[in-house]
Amino acid sequence: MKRRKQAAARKAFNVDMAGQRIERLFGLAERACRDRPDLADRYVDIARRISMRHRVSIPGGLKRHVCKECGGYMAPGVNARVRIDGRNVLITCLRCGGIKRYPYKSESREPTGQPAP
Amino acid sequence: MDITPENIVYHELIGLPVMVETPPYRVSGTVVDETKNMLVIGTEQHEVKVPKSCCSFVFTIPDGRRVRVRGDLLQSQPENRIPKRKRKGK
Repeated sequence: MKRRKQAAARKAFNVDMAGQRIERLFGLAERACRDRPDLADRYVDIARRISMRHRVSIPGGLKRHVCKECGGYMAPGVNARVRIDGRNVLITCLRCGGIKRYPYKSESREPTGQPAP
Repeated sequence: MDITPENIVYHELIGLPVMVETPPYRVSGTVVDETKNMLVIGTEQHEVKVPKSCCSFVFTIPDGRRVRVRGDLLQSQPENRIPKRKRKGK
């Protein structure tokens, strides 16, 4: 029982540490992306490795900055383009051309059917 | 929980100001990259690769404190550095 508690505490520590490191690495990547895009990519690579090794998910807001095609760091206005097409947010990586689509719910539209008699 | 002297061995080293104390590698700068056996330290002029195994590092953590760390405690890939909680001695 004691061992199980110790293992749970160790796991909680690891998950907490992994989460902090991931956030820190994304912050560093954001700062480096203009001058040293190679370093920004490297930081994202390390963050993804930490996330996979410790089974901690990358927070949703940060995940949008990773290109799934080339694995690089995407910063809107620097090396990524963000558009909406009415149904999806489209994020295009300007280095590899990969597109990620995030569907969103549009506001409720006016009913288009014929008026009831 | 931020970077503290207790958890610096498991935390992210990239971005921290560092000074290497061991004689042939006396450099100070910021950690730019990390591999299993090396720390890449960016100085004002260039980047220097310093081996972890034989060096002693003094990191300045964000609250301003300086922490001396034996390099062999850091000798692991960055993503594998977290679970090793049994090692002691900084």
